[in-house]
Amino acid sequence: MPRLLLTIAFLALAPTLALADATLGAGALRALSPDRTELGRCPLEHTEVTLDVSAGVARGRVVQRFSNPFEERIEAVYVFPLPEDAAVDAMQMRIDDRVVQAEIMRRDAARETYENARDRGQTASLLDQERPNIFTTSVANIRPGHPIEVTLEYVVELDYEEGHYELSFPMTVGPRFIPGAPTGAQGTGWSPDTDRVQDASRITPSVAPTGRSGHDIAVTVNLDASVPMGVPVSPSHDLNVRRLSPSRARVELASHETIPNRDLVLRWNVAPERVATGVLAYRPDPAEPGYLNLLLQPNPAPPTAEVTPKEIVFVLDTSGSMSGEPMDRSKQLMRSLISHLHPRDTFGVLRYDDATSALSPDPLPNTPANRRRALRFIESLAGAGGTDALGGVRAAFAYPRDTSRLRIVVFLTDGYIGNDREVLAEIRARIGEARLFGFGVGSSVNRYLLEEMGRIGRGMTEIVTPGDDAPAQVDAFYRRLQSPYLTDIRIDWGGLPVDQLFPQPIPDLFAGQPLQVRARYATGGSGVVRVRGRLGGQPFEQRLEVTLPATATEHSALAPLWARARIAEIEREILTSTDESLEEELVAVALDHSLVTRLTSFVAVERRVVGEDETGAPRTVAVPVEIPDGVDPSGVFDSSLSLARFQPGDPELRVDAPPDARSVTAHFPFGESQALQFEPRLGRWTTRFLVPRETAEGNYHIRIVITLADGTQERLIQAYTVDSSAPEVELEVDGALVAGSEVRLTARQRFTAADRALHQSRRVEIRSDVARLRVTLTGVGRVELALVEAGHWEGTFVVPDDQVDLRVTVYDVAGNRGEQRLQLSTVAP
Amino acid sequence: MTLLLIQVLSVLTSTHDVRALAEHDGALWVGTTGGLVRVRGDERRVFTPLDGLPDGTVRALFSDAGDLWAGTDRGAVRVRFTDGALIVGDVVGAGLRVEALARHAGVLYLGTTTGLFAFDADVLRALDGDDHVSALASTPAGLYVATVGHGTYRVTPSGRHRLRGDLLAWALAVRGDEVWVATSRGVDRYMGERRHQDALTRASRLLPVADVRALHFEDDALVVGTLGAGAFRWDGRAFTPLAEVPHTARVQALGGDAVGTDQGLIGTHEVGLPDNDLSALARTREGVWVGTFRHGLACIHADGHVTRFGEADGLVDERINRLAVDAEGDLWVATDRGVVERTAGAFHLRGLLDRHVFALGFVDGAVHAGAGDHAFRFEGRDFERIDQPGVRPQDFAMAGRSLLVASAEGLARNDTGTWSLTQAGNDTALPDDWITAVAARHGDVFVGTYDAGVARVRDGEIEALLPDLWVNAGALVALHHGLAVGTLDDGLWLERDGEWQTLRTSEGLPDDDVTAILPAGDGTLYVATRGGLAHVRVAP
Repeated sequence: MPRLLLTIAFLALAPTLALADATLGAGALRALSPDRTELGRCPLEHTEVTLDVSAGVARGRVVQRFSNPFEERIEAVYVFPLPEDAAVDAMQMRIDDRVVQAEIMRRDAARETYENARDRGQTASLLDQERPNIFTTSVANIRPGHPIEVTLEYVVELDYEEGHYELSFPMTVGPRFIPGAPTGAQGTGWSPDTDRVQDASRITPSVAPTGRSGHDIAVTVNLDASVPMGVPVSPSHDLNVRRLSPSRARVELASHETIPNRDLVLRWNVAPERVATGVLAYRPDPAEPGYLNLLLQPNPAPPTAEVTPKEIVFVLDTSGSMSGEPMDRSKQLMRSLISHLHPRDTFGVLRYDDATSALSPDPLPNTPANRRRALRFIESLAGAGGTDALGGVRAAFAYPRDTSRLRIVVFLTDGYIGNDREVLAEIRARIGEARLFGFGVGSSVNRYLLEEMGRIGRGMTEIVTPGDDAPAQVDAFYRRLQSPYLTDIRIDWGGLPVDQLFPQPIPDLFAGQPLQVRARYATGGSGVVRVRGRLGGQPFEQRLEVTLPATATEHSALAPLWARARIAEIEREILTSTDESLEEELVAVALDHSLVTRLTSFVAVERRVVGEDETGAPRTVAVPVEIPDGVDPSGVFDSSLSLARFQPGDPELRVDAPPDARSVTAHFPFGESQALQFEPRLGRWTTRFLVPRETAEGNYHIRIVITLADGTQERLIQAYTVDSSAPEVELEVDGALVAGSEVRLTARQRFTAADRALHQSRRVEIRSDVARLRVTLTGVGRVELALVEAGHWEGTFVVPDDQVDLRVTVYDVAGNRGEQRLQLSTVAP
Repeated sequence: MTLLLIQVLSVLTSTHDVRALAEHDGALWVGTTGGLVRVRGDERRVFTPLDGLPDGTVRALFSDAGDLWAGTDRGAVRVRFTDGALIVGDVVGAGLRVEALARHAGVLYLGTTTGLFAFDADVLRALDGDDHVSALASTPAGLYVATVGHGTYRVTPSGRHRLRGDLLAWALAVRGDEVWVATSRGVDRYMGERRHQDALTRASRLLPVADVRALHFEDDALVVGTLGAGAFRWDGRAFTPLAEVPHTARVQALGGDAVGTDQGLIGTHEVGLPDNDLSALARTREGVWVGTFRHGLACIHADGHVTRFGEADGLVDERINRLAVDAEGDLWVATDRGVVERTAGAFHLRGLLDRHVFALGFVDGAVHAGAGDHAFRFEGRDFERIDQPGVRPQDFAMAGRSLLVASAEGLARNDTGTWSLTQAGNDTALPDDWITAVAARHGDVFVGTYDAGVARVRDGEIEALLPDLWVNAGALVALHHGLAVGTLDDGLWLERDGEWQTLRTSEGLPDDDVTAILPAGDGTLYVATRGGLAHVRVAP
């Protein structure tokens, strides 16, 4: 039987919590232990959000109030979202009437500080960034009766285009699809960490059941547009709007809009000509560099028709999380996209969940028959299975292309994956001359992934929320495609001492898009700035007189926004670079500007210990999150595979489905179906199955059909990997083999072609899967080796008199065994 | 060299898991996971690889102009019943698991778990795609192909045309130019590529279980079989349950006037083994005991009749991992949920409740069990954990006064209270750490390994005997004059005087995955496989 390397619990959604009991009331959110045992009432009571908007920037203040419903000290862990480009630059913790300001530190140092304080019994809080749009607050030693407020602040730039401003605030973390082999769990989420998503347990908070949550949210937006503005509106929430003046308003969520289960989207208009364009600057200290923001609405000549014929490849996410409303919305978008194709364009339609398929093997001419064919294909799609977004990206770029046409790739997805960086790296490596556009479909999409896809793909991203007018967004998309782009944009600063400009390179601009860049400047001065580029193949230039003040104390947000832009640029470089200095540069920028990043965290520690004899780690309580609005909650089941590989009949498949389900059936990829049995002691449906011995190495899927008591069905996909190749290591002896001397021996796992094939990409980091390494020196005995890091061991041995004969036996986590031998001659002393 | 005569005397399988039905030549033919069954009146004959079938699992039957084709897990064959015997033709597609057969435009099509194949002029040709094909139907409008995972498509001279509908499609029925598809979400109806919604298709989605696995026309009325809610007949306005089919039956095949479920044909009483997937063997005064992977125990009594035992009889779990017999001749059962002893005609839980017990043996005067990385010794009414080097036991044996524990970490040995552990690569010639079985004879110790064959330990020296075999857990038996080895997919291996011979499906063994071996005491062996039980004679 081939040995099974990994188990991946992939689910349409994360596991549910049990329903609230009578004492808690029907709507209370339940707390979970790290092993997802239900503990009781949730310690997160309320989130209060205040957003102050002016000069195209929002400063957000998020107050999370935690209390302790238990009798013992607890540590609360809350995974929550923030805008993907937020620069989080301040945090404080309030206990009773005491306020502790947080310090920014390297992430590992902050974690150590926090854990030391936690174990000493001090109240402490820690803010980590898991993704640019996912953060974790950990609060240690919350005592009963002593609520704690954690306040964090951030600045974020508003989206602006042609007089339309948009502000968004995410409220829940959607369930992520996690590929890869389990490697452990550092966080409290439902997924283990895997070799492809090494922090999966930190980005997969368990999901609360549907219905009213005990944890609620209030949002207030203070709008100051500086110029007359239209009425703020929201496609996502009902609002209470108070106009304070023609240019100012106070916006609050309506009283019934307190469930944090979808993004708040707020929009308002101003007359485009009233938008302040030009340069804003901030330089409080004349001895230090200043920061500037250049906003320019290019005013090109009347656009001519874009003549380049296009080849548009639509790629639809048809995974389980898209089932229900998001799938319906995707289909609506696709109908509109197909019917608006330009007559001369060709097109293709791909879909992906755990596998990928296409409407046609090649792009099709835009004929009525082909459009009908595409519409039929689209109508037949249903949301089910996992989200192999990497497969979708690869399929899109591998799709046959006509080099005389401009390849446009259009993704429609909710972006609910954990391997964001893997997917972005793939796009960065493959984009070439193509352009990638994204349609984010859903109420709480993964905006970080989608926006980055658009940026790296030199396209744009539209987020289509349930309240949006999808056809209008399709119109806007085609307008952009058919209009000429402003390309090869360069800025001549006219001798002004400007450097460190971001984004770099400046992206192409579509019709209606403003040019916005951030930079530093060394000293004050005046000059004429020239923005040059090419529009429809013709030279383009626009001039602007600029004065950079020697000192300027307004617009303080420019500093963190510049730093955030710099950090985002470094992160993009890291995607396809192994240059370790990039991470050091990132840390330096983040510490300099007190920003939370992947590598830096805020930590706040109260000096005093909360109680006598209360040292040691408190009980950890995980805060579950809401299922995103519109995502079908009926599919909230889980499946998993055992790691045991002993007996024919293993591994064991377990499915989390109700005991009264009529049937749970698994369909295996090698042609066998099995009915699962409900095991009361496990509370799961289980079966064992045999992987045929001849099964080739690779990734496989089990399809699971659950027929519930009422006859309705749920479907799951369980992925697993068959790994039957033995691992290999490289040995290195450091030192002359002089008999009697001690030399250092280094062993490193060598990743073989089989390893890479299994991980399907040479760009993806392959983590060591060696479970055990044994080296023996013939005639002497075992050489003790210490694990330095994953896949790297070191030790020493004394050189024998005659010959060094090293025998290496290495086992991987799937039980595969490899043997190697190294024989070397020694020299006399 | 000693030549052995190894002969399969008889085969006992379970035919309750019905996968296909066909009326042919005046008889009902039943494809099961335990062979091909011919039913005519009261006469019932079971044919297995011992009768020439390439495999014991028959998933498809197709009556083709006077011939009957059977699709098995090792290809398709043409069969004929003549003079009380089954005549089996050449195998087509020997490496393929055939789930569907149809003739279309003069060509025989094989639907397999790895795609669609065409057999024409003695040449087998793979067609595009590697779909798991579950059903085929020939119509004037083309060949319809149902797949598990990719829905249904129609093959015409112009190519392959995918049909709108559910992705899990299981069966097809044809009437004129209309095609019905059984899917996991009810029944779809097509004419050409057009799907038609009508009262039948809508009602099928509202069946108690909409997972429809079988379709059949009976007197112009469509009968549907569901996986868990029995079978229904469409009366033109509604689905009416077939009264003779239990309302929870898992129907897998319809044909003739028969209904086939995973528990046998409706209206017949299944006798014999409860399952073909066998895991363990033992012999007591009551008879030969057969453990199964999913369906409990069976006892084959001296008169040939079989009694089945499950959770209702006191077995704590129906997943049987290993069997042993103690000094009193009582049966011990290692299950996935603990250890059970059979005394005074009843089963009693003896310990390790809720533990997966993988190893069991009567050694050193007591029953020993292995669960996880612990070994236990049962004495009297108690049991205790024995001190051992932290390995995960797979099998036990005694060599002289030494207790041997085969484990996933090597061969552990206890000599008068001191443990030693022999592992691969540690200046030893042990082919693998993962020892799945151990046996001793005349001072020699034999070990079977996970995937590195069999080795012999003699006077501290290790010699590889059979490299590369995958030895199943506990499937190594020291015979009086030799050794018997049960392997995963390489059949039964027998040794005498250093010579090895094999017995496989091609020689009549029900399956090549041999999970347990039991000497019968008369020179014959009982051999448990994942396809049923064989009684084997070994003679020089």
